[in-house]
Amino acid sequence: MNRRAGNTLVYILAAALGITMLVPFVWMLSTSLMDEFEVFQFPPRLWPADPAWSNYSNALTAAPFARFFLNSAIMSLFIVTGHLFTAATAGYAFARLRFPGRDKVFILFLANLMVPVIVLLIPRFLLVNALGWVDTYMGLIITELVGVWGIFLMRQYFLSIPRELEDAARIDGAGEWQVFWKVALPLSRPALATVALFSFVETWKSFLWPLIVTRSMAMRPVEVGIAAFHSLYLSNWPYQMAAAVVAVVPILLLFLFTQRYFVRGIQLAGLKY
Amino acid sequence: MNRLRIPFVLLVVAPAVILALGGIYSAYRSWAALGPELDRHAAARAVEYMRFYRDDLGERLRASPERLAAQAAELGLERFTVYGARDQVVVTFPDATPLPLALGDEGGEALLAAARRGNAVVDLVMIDDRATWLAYLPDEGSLTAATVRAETGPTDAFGEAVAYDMALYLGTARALASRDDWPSELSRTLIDSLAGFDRALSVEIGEERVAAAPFKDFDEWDVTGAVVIRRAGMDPLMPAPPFVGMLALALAAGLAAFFVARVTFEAGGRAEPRRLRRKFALALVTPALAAAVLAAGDARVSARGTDSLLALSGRVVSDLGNLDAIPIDRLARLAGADAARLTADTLAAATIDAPAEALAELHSETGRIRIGGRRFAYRAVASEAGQQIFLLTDPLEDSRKTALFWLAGLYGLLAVGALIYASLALSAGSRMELRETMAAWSFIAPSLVLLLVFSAAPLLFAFYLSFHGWNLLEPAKPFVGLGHYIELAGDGLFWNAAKNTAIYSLYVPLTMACALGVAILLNRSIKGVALLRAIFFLPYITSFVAISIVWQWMYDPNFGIFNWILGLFGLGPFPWLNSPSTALLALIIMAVWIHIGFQMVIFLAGLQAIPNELYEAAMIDGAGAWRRFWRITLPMLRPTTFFVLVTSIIGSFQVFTFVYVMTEGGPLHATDVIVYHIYQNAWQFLRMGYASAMSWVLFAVIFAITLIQFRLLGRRMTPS
Repeated sequence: MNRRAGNTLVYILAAALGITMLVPFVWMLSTSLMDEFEVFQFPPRLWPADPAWSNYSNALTAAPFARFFLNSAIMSLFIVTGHLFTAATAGYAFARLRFPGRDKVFILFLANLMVPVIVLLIPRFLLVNALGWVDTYMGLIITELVGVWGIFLMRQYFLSIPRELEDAARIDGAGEWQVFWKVALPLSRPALATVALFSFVETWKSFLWPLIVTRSMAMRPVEVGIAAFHSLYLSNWPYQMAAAVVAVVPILLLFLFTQRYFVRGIQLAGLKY
Repeated sequence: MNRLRIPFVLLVVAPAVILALGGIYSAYRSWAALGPELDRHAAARAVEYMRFYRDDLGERLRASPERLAAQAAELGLERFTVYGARDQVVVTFPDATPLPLALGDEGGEALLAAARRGNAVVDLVMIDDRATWLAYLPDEGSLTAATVRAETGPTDAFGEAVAYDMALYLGTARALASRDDWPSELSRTLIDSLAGFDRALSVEIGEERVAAAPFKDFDEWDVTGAVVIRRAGMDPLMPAPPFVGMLALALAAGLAAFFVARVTFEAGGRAEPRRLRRKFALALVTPALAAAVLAAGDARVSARGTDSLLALSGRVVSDLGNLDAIPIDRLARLAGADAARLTADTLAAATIDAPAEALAELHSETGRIRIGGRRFAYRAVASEAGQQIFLLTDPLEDSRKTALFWLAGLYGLLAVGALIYASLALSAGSRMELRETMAAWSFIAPSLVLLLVFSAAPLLFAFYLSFHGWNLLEPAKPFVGLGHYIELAGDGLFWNAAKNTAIYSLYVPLTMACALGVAILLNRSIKGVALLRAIFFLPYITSFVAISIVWQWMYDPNFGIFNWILGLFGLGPFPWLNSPSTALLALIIMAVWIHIGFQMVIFLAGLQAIPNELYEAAMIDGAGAWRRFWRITLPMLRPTTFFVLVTSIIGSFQVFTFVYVMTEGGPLHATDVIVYHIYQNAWQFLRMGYASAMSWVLFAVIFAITLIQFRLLGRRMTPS
């Protein structure tokens, strides 16, 4: 078997698998454009004869989707900022600074990764409830501001870049904050981008906590909002698919442009554990 | 010293400032919330009082407005205002006014016209070019009414004075609510909340917050009206705002931080340690003591507030005369409290589970008593006939404890931070060393505090919860010991959820096999491989809810694409999510599709880390592709494989979204997984203690798996 034939085989196989992977997305898009009769045809039509674009405007006005997106955006903005700040500062300290108890504290941080979120859910809810933050942005955001995973990733990254520049800055008389802010941080942009991306996607997709901590439609983020929409329009599949497409598109676009950061992030966090 | 300033600011001053601001904010909030809280009590009582007269003493009411007014005065109500002709009554409270009625002649006319129509219960009329709702309680010809005036009203929708009955109106209001031109949330909020709850609420009307309590008709079914109370000023019942203690604590924290700062700077490595220690203790303890004193004062104020409310209820009840004629539950509602009745020192009936002995111990007129693990504030009321009624309610001061508890905890954290800072400052060997340590701690402090408050503390609190009966709505949180864990062991549904979770996690090895295959397939530099990898990775990053919805549609037994495709091969149709025997399988198939790309990426990294020389050497030895896979690829990938296996299994134990969206645990609990089960227990059955016990079991299992992982990985990685 020569190389060319092998590659062709690989292409055919991979393309077939890839198309299979895409079927649900295509099916989602296609159903979102069907009218109420086409949906319930059997055998199913693969593409509607006359795409009903009005499904989108109808579905989007049936629930406050703009508000859902706004909520998700606000939530993501604060949480991503929080993650970036905590990951950069703590990651830098664990990687670069020497202080008594460093390794113990680091292990304490890492131990957090072992705790399933569901254990924290009830007490966190009681705490947020006691503070009067249920159904507020504060409640959505406050518990999520620090991500141990990001700290870990930033630490690994700082360890992988040379520290000569920082030492030079120290000799020039810069304080620790200046060294961090002016020297180390600019060098760590790729890692910061990875942290930002992952925490954004994670926040955007988060479901259980927003489900619990919000009560009114006006405070729901996209994921919870779509789920509520789903239970309201249970039998109207075109509307639901239109809503699903709308929910998928932003992250899809983001992913298309930032793919390599995702891959790097997973590999960084995954393998050097 | 200058270098120290930044870390110091971060470590001590910033948290203190945040704490102080937070304290001030929450003190303000609770102060602002106090008025509405009292108004809700008042409105609820007004409604009960009016309802009482409607049902039982309607005659008396109609016969003599003067007598009614006199009674009202006795009750501590300022007056019943009699509007227009005959029977319309508006309740007015001391220092609180009903919403501006502004009925004028026109309004009075409208009111009367509606009354004449008989059973019209709600009208929307125009008064002074503004839409105004009028809510009536028609009662055998008499009319007890309260009006709610909205600043703007649904004028376009209704036009002029149209009569709707309440049920119809509610339906219409709901339908209108989704319209763009529906005016603001005010009328909607009111009507929604009134329809939804049988108790008084705080409602926003226009820009002001009012207390509103719904009226219901005779069969307690339809909401027929509302009493709305608006505050005119602070209620005289409550002499001072509560939560002064919280404010004090916050201030104390600020003060303490300030003193600690001064002492430390003063020290600068010179001062004598013992003197410093004393100063330190003083700096931390004095403000805390002051705060404690204020908090105690705060609790006393709250207690007095409770007593005042009970006193008001007592006056309402003692006015009723022959208490024997009134059912105890009505009495309880009238008083806005739980009522227990004693006739001649014998417990006749009680709405709460109060043992006779417990009540027999009551001596004074007001006080606190513990019944069945729950604390009550009580007030004894003697009727004309010499009977005794005990009114019981939750002590207001108890509800302050939680917040104080958390603030005290925060203060403790701050104190610990200050102590660490100070001890480091005093013990560091060299200036450089100190500088680095300080900087490091200030870098870590934000993350550490957040983790302690929102992860470590909740973890322990969950453990504490698992030993207590904990229902959000019940004030009593009894200690049950190992009760929950014992119940868990015999809970068939829990074991069913555990079993389902275990079966669901079978997707992990399935996915791993597929992902490894795809990774090997795509581990070559050919054109378009990046796109293919992206396609495989796509499901993992998109919205899980959207994916769930799409798959639910694909699994549709009648019109879904799965049954169609399988039908082409002569298979099926399968019921998928609709049958207990296939639902879990359907979830597993979907899980494979979702996770394949994620695992593939990790496998790809593992594959790329295998040195090419190994393969070359094997080729020279004449090993075939299959043999190379088994002898080189798989052994070299072992750490990766193990990592993927363990993390994915841990992840699979926490599946929730798919189950919540697609099956809600059904059919017949066939897809009820652990996390969903915990969610249901905590938020649907409100058994938070029991749910916490379950979550701790899950935690223990995951912890054990992680430990095994570390041990095995550690052994493998240490050079032998």
